[in-house]
Amino acid sequence: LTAVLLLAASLSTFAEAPPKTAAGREDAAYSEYQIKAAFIYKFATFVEWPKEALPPAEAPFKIGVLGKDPFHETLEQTLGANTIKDRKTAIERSSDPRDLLDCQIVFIADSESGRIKETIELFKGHRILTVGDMDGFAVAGGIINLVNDGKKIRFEVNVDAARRAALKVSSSLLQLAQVVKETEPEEP
Amino acid sequence: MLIVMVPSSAALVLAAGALVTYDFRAFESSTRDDLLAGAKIVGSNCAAAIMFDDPVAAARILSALAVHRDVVAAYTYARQGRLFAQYVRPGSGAFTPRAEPPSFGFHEHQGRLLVVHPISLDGERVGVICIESDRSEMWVQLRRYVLTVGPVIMAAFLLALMLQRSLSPLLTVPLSHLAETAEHVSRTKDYSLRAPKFSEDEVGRLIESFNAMLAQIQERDAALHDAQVLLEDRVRERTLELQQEVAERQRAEQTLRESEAKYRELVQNANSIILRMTPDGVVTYFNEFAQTFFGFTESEILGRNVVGTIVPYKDTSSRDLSAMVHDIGLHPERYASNENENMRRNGERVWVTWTNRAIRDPEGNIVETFCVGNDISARKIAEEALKKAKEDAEAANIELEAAIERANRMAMQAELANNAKSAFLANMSHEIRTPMNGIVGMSGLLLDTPLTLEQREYAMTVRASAESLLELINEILDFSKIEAGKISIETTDFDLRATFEEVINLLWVRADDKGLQLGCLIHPGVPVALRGDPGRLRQILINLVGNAIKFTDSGDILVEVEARNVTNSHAVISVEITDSGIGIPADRQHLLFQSFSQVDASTTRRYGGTGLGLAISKQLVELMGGQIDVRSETGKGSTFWFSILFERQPPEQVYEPVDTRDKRVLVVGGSSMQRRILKTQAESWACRTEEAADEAAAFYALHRAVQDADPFDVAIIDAILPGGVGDDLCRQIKSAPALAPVHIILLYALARMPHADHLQEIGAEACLHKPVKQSHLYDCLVNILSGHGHYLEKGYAEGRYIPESEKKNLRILLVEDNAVNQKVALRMLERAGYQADVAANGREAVAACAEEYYDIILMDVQMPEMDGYEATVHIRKQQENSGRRSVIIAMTAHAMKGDREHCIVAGMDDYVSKPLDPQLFLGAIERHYARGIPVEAPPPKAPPTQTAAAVYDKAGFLRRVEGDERLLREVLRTFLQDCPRQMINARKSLEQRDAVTLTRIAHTVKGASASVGAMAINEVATRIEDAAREQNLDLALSLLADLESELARFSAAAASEE
Repeated sequence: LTAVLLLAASLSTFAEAPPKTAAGREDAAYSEYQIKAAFIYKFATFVEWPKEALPPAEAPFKIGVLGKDPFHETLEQTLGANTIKDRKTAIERSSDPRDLLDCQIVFIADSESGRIKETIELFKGHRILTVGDMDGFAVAGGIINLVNDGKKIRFEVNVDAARRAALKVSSSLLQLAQVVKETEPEEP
Repeated sequence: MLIVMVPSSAALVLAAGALVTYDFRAFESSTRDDLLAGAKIVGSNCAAAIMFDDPVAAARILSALAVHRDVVAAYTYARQGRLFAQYVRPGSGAFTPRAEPPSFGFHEHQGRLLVVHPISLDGERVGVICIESDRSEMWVQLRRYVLTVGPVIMAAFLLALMLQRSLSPLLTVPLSHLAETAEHVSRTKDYSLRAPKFSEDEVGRLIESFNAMLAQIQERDAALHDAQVLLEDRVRERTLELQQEVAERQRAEQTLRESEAKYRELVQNANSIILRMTPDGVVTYFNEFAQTFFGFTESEILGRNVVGTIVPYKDTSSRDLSAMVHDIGLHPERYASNENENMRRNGERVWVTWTNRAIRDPEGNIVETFCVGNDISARKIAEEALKKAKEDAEAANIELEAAIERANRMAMQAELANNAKSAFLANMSHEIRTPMNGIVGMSGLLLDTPLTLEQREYAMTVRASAESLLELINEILDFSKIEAGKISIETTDFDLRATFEEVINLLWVRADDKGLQLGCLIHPGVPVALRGDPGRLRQILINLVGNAIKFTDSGDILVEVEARNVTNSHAVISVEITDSGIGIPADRQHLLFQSFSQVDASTTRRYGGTGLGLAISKQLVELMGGQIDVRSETGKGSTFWFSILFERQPPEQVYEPVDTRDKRVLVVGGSSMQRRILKTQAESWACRTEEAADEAAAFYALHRAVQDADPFDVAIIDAILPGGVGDDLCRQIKSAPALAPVHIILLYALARMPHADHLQEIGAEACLHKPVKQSHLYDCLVNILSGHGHYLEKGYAEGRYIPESEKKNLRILLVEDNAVNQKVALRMLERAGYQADVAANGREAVAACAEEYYDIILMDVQMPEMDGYEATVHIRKQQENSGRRSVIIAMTAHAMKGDREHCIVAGMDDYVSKPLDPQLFLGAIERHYARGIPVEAPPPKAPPTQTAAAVYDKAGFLRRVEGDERLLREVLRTFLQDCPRQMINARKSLEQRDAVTLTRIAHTVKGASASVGAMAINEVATRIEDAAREQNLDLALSLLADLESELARFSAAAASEE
């Protein structure tokens, strides 16, 4: 219940809470990663997975964090007892992407920026919503990239990558997003 | 004109209005639908923007509403009603949006329509959308509509007006003529009028038809009138005819009914007397059968009165029949059926049963009586015979009753005789008991006086003989009562354990005197709250255990109680009394339970007794529905057993061995039977037990338990041990630090119960006296295990002991008319340390009680002037309001059943039977004392501590002989003379290894030494007795030396006292 309240509060106060960590200006109660965690939770609402990509009804909806976790407890607090697609949620953390192949969403942390190509390559062909927060993540083939423009957290959506992962992104979401096309032509 | 114009123009206007209104509604509804659809679509499009806090995107989405020309503004609100984004139509003027979203649905506001709708996502509300419309689109449409429809209506109206004007005269002129004619016809009813005809068109045909109709109506009117007149005449005629027919038929039916009735009776009664007579009794008809029966011809009887012809004036019982005939004539219905005495022509009387019926004329007057009769003379004769037989039987009955009365009288006489016999038995018992009382009492008193040895022996023989005579009489009386079926078994609630312990306690002294061990083992699981006759059970037990004691010279007597077939409501209690006595040869066993028989004549000579005891026991057991039998082998002892089915008391409290569970208990010393009993009892409370026969075994067991880290919690130690005394063992245990924590319970003989200070000194926590009562042992264990310190079983708690000083303070009134009995009772009381006042009869007793309050009143029952029952009633009444209540104990020589009830009903508290047995008599006083008679004097101080056994306790000795110095010297001399002889015998028995004899000798010395106050000797003698009983002759030998030296010390001490 606390998690629900927290989530509700965080969503309703986006406008007033400057999300960027500008020293001395951060009077708001919510950090950048609290908001990003809420975004990740909300993306699930606007994205549709093919039926077979979802876990069985009694199994949890898994969210993976790859690399050095910037969320700490925030992700757990945000998700709490909330359900995604009528399922309980579970969070898995690993530094090996292969451990996270049964997740529905994988957040790829900044620590992976050095080998982002290989990582994205590994997730290709899996029905996984990859989310990152590093420059060029979407362009490189990640599906959603969270971008902090200094005032607000915005996001880029790579619709090609989404289509490749067989995920349907709601047009409502796309209206808010900066839509990115891949620079490289798709392999035949 | 106007009539035609107004409706047509009104219809036109109404149609136009309805069309406009309908279209307006349709426009309004579609506007609302459009608006709501827009709100839903745009709202859901905005959901993501609100979720991700993107007001710019939201505003962009709202602006899509621009395509709706009547949308003036739109807003979205995020959670908590915060305005999130807005859209305002350009050029629609400055517009202040509402800060708060209005409630959901449609609102009218300043001519504008608002729709407010929630924005939901996955069933969760994320915001609200509000769209405002000026409805401009609708107004435009409506205006266009009115402009189109208005002119059309006007044109239609004008055209209608013109047409009407040119066509109306063609119709109106002929119609107004027709209307006039019709009105005239209806007013004058003149159907001959005709309307004028103008043309051959539709109107002309209408007028023709109207005229034809008038002509037809005129014709019909005339025909109808004629028919009506004809019908009325017809109806009148027919009615008259019908009335005549009905009257005729009624008459015919009446005649038919009468003739039919006559005919039926004639046919049916052809074999009966049939006659008719007038109400005066004159015969008008007399059928053939009647003529034959009575002997009159028709001509002889017709016209004559029945009275004097076939009816006698008076019948045989002188009844006036003429009056009856007169009555029949008047009220035949009262005599519808009657029996009468009639007469034949020859005067012979006959009995006829008559059926009489009145024949009435149509007005209901009696015309004649119709009589049918049947001869019942034969039946009458039979009836007469029957009546006579009945009278005979009645006479026989009376005789029988007389016989029964005689028999009853005889039975009553027999019963009276029987009662007299019973009364004689009771009286005889009273008469025998009164002198017996004198003999027993006086010989007892005689024994308390200084006597020479020879005199003492004679006196003791007298008392013993008297006692056996008394026992004999009691048994014979008991037996005769059983034989006479006079004993009934009562059913009351009782405690099985208490009953057994009471008997064991009573007989323990007798067993102890013979040096026998007596124990009672009630096995765990035996229900103790039972229903039955505890008095009879006690009698059986006393008899069987008494026998066991009588026929056993050494060893044990064990009473074992087990239960079989225990159900919730019943249990079979099985009791075995096993002795180590002389045994009974197999061929004699079946004779045992027969009256007046013992094993053989020599037994009778040796042991005495009537031989009735077992017979009585058997009868009692069988009366209670049980079985009794014996198993025995000559020389190896006997086991008498009986089993009785008892009812159980409803819910019994379950023993919950909480405090004793798993505790370790060591049982030390005593006989093996005693150890077995104690072990079984302790185990029944879930204790773990071990036993040790002597000190060494006890030490071994205690040390080993400490080493096993499972030390004993409690040690129950007999005060007399094979190798020493329990006190020493106790001291040694308590001085060994490893063993000291064990709680010690010491067991003493009642007479040797130590003082509390002594227990503290030796370190024991508790002491109990033998025989150990199970309930006391349990209380004691719980007490010391729960750390409640010392437990000292008080001999006085059982009513066995009243401090001397309190005895003096007890106020006792003895009520007894017989001088000898008075003296006996008084001396017994004085001997025991009581003082008592005396009243010679009930009247004196009542007077004495009015003067002074007595704690205890000993009340004889049979007394002259006023008997005990009456006196008791008076005394109870006197004391009613005083708040004090004397204890009244009846003394009765009646040995008959019902005495006890009689006493209790009269208000007495207890009763003792005469001749008085000092033990029972004083026991009753002590029992009531123990129950708490308030004594005014302060409680006495505790008796002085008795430390190490005194060589010579002269003070105690003197107290026992009640300060009689002369008696003291005599007894002392006898003791000193006797002792050396006992020593020699003891040595002799030791040489012969005869432990039995040695036990008896030591026991004798023990008893004698205690009474002269030679406490040191007593102690050593006790140890010798125990050693001998345990077959430890070496120990006995070493103790014998101690005994000799103690005897020397006592002689010296006694000599120095003189």
